[in-house]
Amino acid sequence: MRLLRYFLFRLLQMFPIALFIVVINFALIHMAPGDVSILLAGEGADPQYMEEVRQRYGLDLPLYQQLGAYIGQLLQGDLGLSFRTREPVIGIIAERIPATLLLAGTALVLASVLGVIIGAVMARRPGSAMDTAVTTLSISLFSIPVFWLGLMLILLFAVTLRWLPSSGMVSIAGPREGIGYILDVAMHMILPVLSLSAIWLGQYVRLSRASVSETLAEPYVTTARAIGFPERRVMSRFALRNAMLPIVTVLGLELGLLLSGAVLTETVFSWPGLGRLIYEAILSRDTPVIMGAFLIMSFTVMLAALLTDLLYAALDPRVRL
Amino acid sequence: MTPGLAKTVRGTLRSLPGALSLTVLAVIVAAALLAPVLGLPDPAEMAFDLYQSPNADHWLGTDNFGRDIFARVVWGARVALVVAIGAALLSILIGSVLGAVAGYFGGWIDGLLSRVFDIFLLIPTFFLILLIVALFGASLPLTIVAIALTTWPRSARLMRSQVLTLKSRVYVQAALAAGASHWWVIVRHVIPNGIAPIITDGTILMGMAILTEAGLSFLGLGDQNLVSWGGMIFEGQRHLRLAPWMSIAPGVALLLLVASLNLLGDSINFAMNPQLRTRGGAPKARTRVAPPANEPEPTAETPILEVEDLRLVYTAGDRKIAAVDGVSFSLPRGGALGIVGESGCGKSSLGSALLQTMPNNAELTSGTIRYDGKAIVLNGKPVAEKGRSRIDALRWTRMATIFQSAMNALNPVTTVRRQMMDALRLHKPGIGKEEAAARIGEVFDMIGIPRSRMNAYPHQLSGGMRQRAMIALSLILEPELVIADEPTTALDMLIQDQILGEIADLRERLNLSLILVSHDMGAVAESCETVAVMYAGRIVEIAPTRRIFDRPAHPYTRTLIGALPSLTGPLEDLASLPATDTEAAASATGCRFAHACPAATDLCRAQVPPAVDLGDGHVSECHYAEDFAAEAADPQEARA
Amino acid sequence: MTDPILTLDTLRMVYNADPGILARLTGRADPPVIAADDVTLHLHPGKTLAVVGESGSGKTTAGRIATLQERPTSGRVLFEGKDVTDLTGTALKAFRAKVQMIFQNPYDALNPRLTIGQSLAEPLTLHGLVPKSELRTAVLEMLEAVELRPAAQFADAFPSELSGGQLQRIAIARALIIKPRVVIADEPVSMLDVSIRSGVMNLMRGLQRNTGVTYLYITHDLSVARYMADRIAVMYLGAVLEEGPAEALISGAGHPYTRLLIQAAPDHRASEVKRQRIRLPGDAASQSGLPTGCRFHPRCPLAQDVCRTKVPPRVDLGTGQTAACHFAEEVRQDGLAIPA
Repeated sequence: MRLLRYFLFRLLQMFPIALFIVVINFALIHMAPGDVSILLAGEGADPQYMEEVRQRYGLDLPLYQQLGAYIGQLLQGDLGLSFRTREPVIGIIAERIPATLLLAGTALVLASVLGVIIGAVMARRPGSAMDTAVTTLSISLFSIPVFWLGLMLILLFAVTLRWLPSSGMVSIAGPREGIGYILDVAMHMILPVLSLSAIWLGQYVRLSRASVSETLAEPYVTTARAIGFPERRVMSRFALRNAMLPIVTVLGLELGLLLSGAVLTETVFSWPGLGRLIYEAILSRDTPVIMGAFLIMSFTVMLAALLTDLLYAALDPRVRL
Repeated sequence: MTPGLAKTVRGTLRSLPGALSLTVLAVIVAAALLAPVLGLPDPAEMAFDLYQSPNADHWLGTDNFGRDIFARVVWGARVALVVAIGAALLSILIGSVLGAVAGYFGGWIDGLLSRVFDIFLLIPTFFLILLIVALFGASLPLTIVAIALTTWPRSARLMRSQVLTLKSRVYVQAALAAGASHWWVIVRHVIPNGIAPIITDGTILMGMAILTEAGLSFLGLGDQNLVSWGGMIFEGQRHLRLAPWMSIAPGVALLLLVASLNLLGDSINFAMNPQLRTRGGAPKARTRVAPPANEPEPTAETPILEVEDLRLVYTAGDRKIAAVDGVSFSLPRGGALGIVGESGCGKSSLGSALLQTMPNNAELTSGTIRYDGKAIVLNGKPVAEKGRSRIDALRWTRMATIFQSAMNALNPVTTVRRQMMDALRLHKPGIGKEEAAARIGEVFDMIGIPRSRMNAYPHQLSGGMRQRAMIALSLILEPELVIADEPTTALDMLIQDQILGEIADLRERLNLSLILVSHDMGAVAESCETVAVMYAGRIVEIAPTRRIFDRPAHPYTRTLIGALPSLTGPLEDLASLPATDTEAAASATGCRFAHACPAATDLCRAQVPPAVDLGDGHVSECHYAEDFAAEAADPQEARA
Repeated sequence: MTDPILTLDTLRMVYNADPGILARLTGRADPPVIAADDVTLHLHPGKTLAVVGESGSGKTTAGRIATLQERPTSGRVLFEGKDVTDLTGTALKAFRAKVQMIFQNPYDALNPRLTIGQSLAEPLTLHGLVPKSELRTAVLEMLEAVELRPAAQFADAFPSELSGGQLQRIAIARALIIKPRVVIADEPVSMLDVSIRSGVMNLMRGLQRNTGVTYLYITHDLSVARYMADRIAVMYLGAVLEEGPAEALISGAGHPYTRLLIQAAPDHRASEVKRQRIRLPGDAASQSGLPTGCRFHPRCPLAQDVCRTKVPPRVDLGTGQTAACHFAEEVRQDGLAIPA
């Protein structure tokens, strides 16, 4: 009940942020050079369609009414039409979301679980040669441009060794159902997931190393050792439990960065997700799709932040509900 | 250069990652600056030797237009550095000004700006930049501005929190109270002390800016008129099979530049806060030894704890510091010993040595600790029997601790009751739920915590209640010996008094043996029969409590007693010591206290004083112990 | 008695009085905190008034208001008879030259990037009291006055090179270098080691004898108050419970809280090892949600029905001693023996 109230309170706080994002979107398109109707309808669109777009967005009305019209459209879930395919943007995006979720989600889980474990192990021996090496390595890992790492993996595993497919989500002539299909997708996933999670692994190792070593220096850990808890329990019950708090926060906040990495990765591997969609939209100057994708990404990140908040509240009794 | 800054620079240069990254950065910056005069081929010049793999003429090969890749990589460094410096500078400038304003002036400005920072934190910035560049057309200046406009909240948040901390710093308060204006304070005190982390973060910001630009270029949103590493990879991608070197070289350059920026930031950070690198950690494995042969069986007269010549040495960098330097004492069963001393005297290190909870940079170099006649530490090494350290068999069931709980000695995310339950179950695995609950309730009653507070989390308790909870936790397994380390520090007077009363009362009722570590002579006086005074790692005087107050035989003890004002008796001038530091004590050749002692003679400065036994358990390490002991307690008549 | 040099007149200080609309709507408002509630104190020239209280008693707030670092919610600050509560600009700066402050934490008292000499010269520069060419001489003189010798060596040191006791001496020097009339000292020795404390206290007493400066000495320790002060005010939860000449107040306290504080102070020259202790009924109270009636009644061993319902009057016990207790006369006579 208290958690629900807290959730509603946080949700309420999200509204101005959502509004702000929508306004940015609106302002950008009006500040951009060129005619707004062309940006929305596409260059060389036939006059009839152009007029239709002008009507939809009320482009002949004063600005504030245009904003009103725009928000009205958004509230109905209308993100406009792609001028490449003339299909509703919302539908195009919705179609691509599962693939992105599959890729980003797998990479996120892999990177965070592995990262937290490696970081925690390093925190047990701070300042050791191993610790310094791993720290340096993790910094180097997240300094790699993700798209370049993808290319290098393709070069090694697909071009040279020919072990794994280099692009797409399924083989052209592969099975479309059953265990064979799953295996096929899994094979295609290995390289993109590897590149995306490698970058993030570095980040999570550092985060978890810092966070766990900080909790290991806390007096309650000394108490636990004095009580006689074996080191495994000290680690899991006292150190990790408390270290999870900052880790969870950062995980939630950096989802936006993870998604941008996903876009670049999808581009390299022709993964049929949102990122690939954005890339295609950029190439064909399909403004409505780019704007729609930005909005959806923003709302996703907000939702993630909200869920993080709830998770944090559940983990830390000190949060005032 | 202030000592702090000098230390940071030294620390950064001395660390391997720091030196390495600075070297790489220097090479890249030099290459970028010298690009026009290096005699490289024109990076845009097309030639007929397409797709050449690396060779003597073209060190990194040529691309699909026959352009020299090495030249393009060198010229690309310019774009990367311009993006990095431009975006970071702009971002830091906007961010730190707004952050400083928000943090310093607070109020509605802060409310508004903090909201804006929060919003930007939630916007996926890469997509916003992408949208801006897609709408406004790809050009380098626009990219830089777009990156700065989306990343400034990062600097702003950092600056704001810096300023918030600095604002409450005493020297800032003092300057304001001295009549300084806000601008004076900001310019002279706040910015110089707050800028370091922002500059450090700047290196990370630069790395992010470079990767963002590279990402945009890779998506085809780069400035077409310039050579950018991201753009080179964008082109190389299409020729990956035919000419992999086209994408490898710019990627390696990106990696090197960004990694050295990130490593540099990291090294500076570590140099500024060296404890970040080494704090925490799991206890290291220490060599264990077998128990000595023919240990006598304990009798009723065997002391519960016996310490002989204990030495604990910390290693800090190249320095070794003996925090405990030859301490011996013995505590009879049911007795109470107070260990008194000031900050840095080694009393807490002694406590951690007794409990074997020393940090990893501490080592026992000598000494034996016997618990109930059985050695648990022999010649500085833990004693193990049948593969298990003897101390582990004593923990909490026979020997427990009360920590200073204002310092977070209880797990903040677990209820007090649960923590007691865990300790109980750990040592009594078979205990039933009801029995355990009954025992916890019993201890709560004994300590005076209302049962209604049992399920509270530590933060929900007041300071006094939290300290009681800590005591309850220490007593849950009915130990024989309790070591209390500053159990009342940081508590209010009345609560302090109540807790001391509680400890004294429990000791009597449960026949506990007690070691009470404190900086407060008065606190110890009431609860202990014996008082040991520590100075610079040694027990300089030990005596029955009444005796040490009536006839202190060490000038340091006299100061401790005479330095605090009293509420009773005539108001007299207080004794005091000159404000010197304990390092002088550690390096002394003679008596450690000589440098501060009002009665020191040449003998004191030349020779280490012997332990003078004054009878009845009164021992003092002073050349003139007998003279002091013969005098009345009045410190005013101390020898001149 | 002479006219007071500085007076705090019925000060009231409330934080979080207005939590904001969103917080109120969702019921997440922080309760207002009453940091000071009807505080009246008088400082007499050349004398020391000690304000004693535990954390949350409002003693620090009173000190911050006395230096106008904070402005009270209501009430006045009078300096040399004039109302200075709302001073700004140059008038405020002139006031600050007369009323200085010493803080609790010596390790944080000096800007780590400035030398001791630079820090000490700052107040002189701010108020333009000494020409630039004579700054160094003034700084060295002041260092001598706080017994830091050789002065020149200290002037060129950085704060990180000095010990806590030395740093606090420099903080005192900085407060006194512009020759203020009043110095507010907030727990100036509580973070120092015992053997160093007395030196700093003796120094402050000596400087007062030489310069005639007035101290408002804030402390949690009654025995320190007795040593330093001519008069003592005991504060609890934002209010002054008892006030009077130091010796009279300690030998004949009229408020049970003062009595308990005296009893709780460990005696550092203990000849009697065991003392009588009363197990107090309540725990430390909080500043939000004050109890009805007497604010001390939940912890008072003598509390009667009247204490729970009626705010006690300020009882004049003669010889300038007052106590806010329904039973002040009885407590002064019989101590904590329960009155009928």
